[in-house]
Amino acid sequence: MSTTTAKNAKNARYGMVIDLDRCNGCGACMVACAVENNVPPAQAKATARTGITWMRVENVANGASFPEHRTAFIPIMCQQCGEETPCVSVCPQQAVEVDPKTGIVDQMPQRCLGCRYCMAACPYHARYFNWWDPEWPAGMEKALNPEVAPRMRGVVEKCNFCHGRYHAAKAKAAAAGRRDIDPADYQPACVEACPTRAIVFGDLDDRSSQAAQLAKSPDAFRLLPKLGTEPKIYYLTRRPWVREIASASSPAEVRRG
Amino acid sequence: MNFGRRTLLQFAGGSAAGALFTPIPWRLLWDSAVWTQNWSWIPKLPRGEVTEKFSTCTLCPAACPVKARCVGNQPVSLTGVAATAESNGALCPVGLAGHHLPYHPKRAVLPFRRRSVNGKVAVSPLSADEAAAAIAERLNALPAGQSTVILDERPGRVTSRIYQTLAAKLPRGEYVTSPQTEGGTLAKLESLTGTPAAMNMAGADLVVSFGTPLLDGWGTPGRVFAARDRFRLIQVEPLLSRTAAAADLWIPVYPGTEAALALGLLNLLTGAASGWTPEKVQSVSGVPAESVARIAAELKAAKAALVIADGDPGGGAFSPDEQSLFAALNLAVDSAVHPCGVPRVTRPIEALPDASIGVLLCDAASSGAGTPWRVIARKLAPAAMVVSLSPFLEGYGRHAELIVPAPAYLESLQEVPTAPDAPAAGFALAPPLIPARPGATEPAEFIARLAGEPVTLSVELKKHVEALHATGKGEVVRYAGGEVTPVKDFKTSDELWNALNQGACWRQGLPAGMYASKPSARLLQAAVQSAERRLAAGGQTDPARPLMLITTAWRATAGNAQVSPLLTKLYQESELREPGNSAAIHPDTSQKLNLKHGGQAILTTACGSCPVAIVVDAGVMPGVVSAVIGPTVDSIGAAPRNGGSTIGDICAPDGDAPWRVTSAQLRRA
Ligand code: SF4
Ligand code: SF4
Ligand code: SF4
Repeated sequence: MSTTTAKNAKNARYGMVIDLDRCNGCGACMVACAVENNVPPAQAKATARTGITWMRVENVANGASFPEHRTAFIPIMCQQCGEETPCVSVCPQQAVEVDPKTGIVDQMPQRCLGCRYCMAACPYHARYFNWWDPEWPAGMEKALNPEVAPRMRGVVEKCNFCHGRYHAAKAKAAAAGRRDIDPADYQPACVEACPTRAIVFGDLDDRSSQAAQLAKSPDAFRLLPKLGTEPKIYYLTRRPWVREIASASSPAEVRRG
Repeated sequence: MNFGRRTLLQFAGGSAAGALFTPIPWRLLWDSAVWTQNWSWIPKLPRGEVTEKFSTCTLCPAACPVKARCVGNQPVSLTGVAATAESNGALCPVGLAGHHLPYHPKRAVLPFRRRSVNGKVAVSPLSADEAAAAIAERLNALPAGQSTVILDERPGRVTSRIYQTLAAKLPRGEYVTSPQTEGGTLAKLESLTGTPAAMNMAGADLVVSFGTPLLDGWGTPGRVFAARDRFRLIQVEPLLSRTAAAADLWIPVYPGTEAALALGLLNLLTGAASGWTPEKVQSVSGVPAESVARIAAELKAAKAALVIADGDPGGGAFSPDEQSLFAALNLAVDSAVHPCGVPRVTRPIEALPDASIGVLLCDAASSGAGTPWRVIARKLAPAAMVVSLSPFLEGYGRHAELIVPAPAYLESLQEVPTAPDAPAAGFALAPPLIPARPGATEPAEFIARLAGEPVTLSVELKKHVEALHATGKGEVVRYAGGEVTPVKDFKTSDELWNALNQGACWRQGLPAGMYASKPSARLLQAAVQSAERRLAAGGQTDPARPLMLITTAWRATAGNAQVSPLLTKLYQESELREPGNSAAIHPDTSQKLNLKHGGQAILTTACGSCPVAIVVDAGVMPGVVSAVIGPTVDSIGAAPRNGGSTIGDICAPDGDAPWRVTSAQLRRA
């Protein structure tokens, strides 16, 4: 298998392909993401609207009644837009940038002003605001990931394809005298945790990568393609109703019942 | 030039406008943004050498191998071990955040006693010695006809054997096991044929599951999902669960009538259960006659079929009568069940007479199931002493007079017996990764003290490993790298012990041969008769409580188990999972009862009432309430709290078939 970007290597375009026919809505990806990125447990007052879930698995239904009723799960995180990236364009602080080496839409909390323009601009509702300072039950802060700084109240955050892991993989390649990252060294936490192997991650520009191949499947589609944001998250399904709902303007609002 | 008020204002305005063209305001904005991310109260990140360590998850019976990323002596993340066929790299969400459990807000750190004084609950701390003395005092005065009971949540362990030995040394001591849902079908097969059974899911081409959450908290997730691409799944249950949604075919059935479908299948497959035509099955269970014929045809055509009817961790197991029928179905088809070397030793608590327990010693482990307290409470004599050895205040701790906390997950050396879905016998150690807190007591060692028979768990585990080594049978899979070594290649038992302590599991080779020949006519007849008896006994609805309450739980989140506060991501900060005390009803039911999605209601059964949050879900059968036994939003990460009724408290256990279907009424709160 070919290798991908590091210093002086060719640029990558990291992306994911999520098989909705495999996902069973277990939530392992959500928990693994929170552990990896030091996202704290919910504050007492937090709700689905104010909570922080970089990865959120939405439960959608076909709208039919019992016994024709069917449900599916759609894991939604930052779609890592490739073109006309809405959040980048509106951020007055340049706290959001697309890394040309990886294609990852990076969020820099140290620059973030908390104006939340990016949240308003994001068509995928994939950005989250810190309404409270992060808090962990006493002692649990010892179990935080040493690679990721916790964010304080007043800033926006979102999925960054586990940036800490990208840097670790880069460091490992450098230590081994390699220019390129070994793809096996850079797998985001949600990908690693998914027990059904529903999520495949890789360089979409590397034609030999499984992600690039799956993204070309006739069953593959992206969310809100008409906006022209060129997301780097692809979904797969062979169920037409799931595809239809996932392509709706807000799959998050298509709930059971 | 005149310098007046107007000039001053002009100067101020001009300066403000001009400042916008300098870097100053932007710099201030920038710096303040940086400052707000650098407060002194930001949690300090752990620093130290990063290492990889291995253990085995003990949070439910699935026994998933665990890889821990540690900073110094502290695990900072857990993942599965990709190199083993046991889990194929998977952990469930509960296991992924298991390293938080030692810091759970509901952790019991020191022993304490809870007493009711003038109707109020008073709590007083005490030492483990004082707790032992208080229990000994009660044991010495145990009234005639009452027993001392050790309740084992995870049978099949070395600890279970210790418990059995110790029970014999306690005054009128009894060893019992809590209701076990997982492995129920195999246990029944064993009791019918006398041969311990295991299932080879990897070799199955068809699985018919009766109400078993096969894809959502049953067996070892990594092993089940790895096999899933190879078998067709037919899920029989009254609601569109996660497993039903992902099945190849979902067959809705009226709650409590699953046995009717099984009778129909047995009739088509063997001719036994005469009279159970597809049409009769349809009239009793609501399953269309053509579906009955179709499932029977699929079972007949399958080369390696499995019928699994272990029930739901919150819904309880099927009754022994129904289980006989499901077990018989496995014998009637070409099955993926095969013989296994390890007999299952369970002595269900249901076998004890009601009101007979004087002192109940509750194990620290969790069966994974959300057993309603009432199932246990009905066996307690009035004023019985309940002792919880769990590391948490919730679970059995909610009802205990004495709490003597055990070390939490990853804090002490533990063991992991054969997983319910393992194709062959297995054993692993769960070496500790975090130092235990002072004050924690190993349950088996504490009970041994009461029995006057000192025991050290690690010594007993070592003896078990020596015995494994002496047999020379099986092989050891090391979690680091997945290297497989036959037991006979370990020169000494110490070598084997060390390997298991570094993260490895022992497993027996796959037994050869079929499980058993076709079922005898006598066995079939007995199974049919007992299932018919059961069906005849059920199904009476109480006009005052016209709804059928079925309960569900997600394994390892209910009963004696606790989950990391991070699981609020699933229950509170998203709507991925319904929290405890939610009640899902069909839109027609909600309309009839004038209940709205998200509204509050009171759920009433013959055993009491409980406030519930209504979920309107078209995947639930009309007339059915599907309620969740599990963590409630305010209980996952909140401060210690005891009391408050939960769905589990109002489920009615009936004779030998605990709480699967309860007549209930719902009204607006
Ligand atoms: S890629 Fe990383 S940050 Fe993004 S959702 Fe997955 S785990 Fe979270
Ligand atoms: S971990 Fe995988 S199966 Fe589970 S919800 Fe996430 S994507 Fe779906
Ligand atoms: S399935 Fe059970 S053993 Fe496996 S990770 Fe989850 S809780 Fe642990």
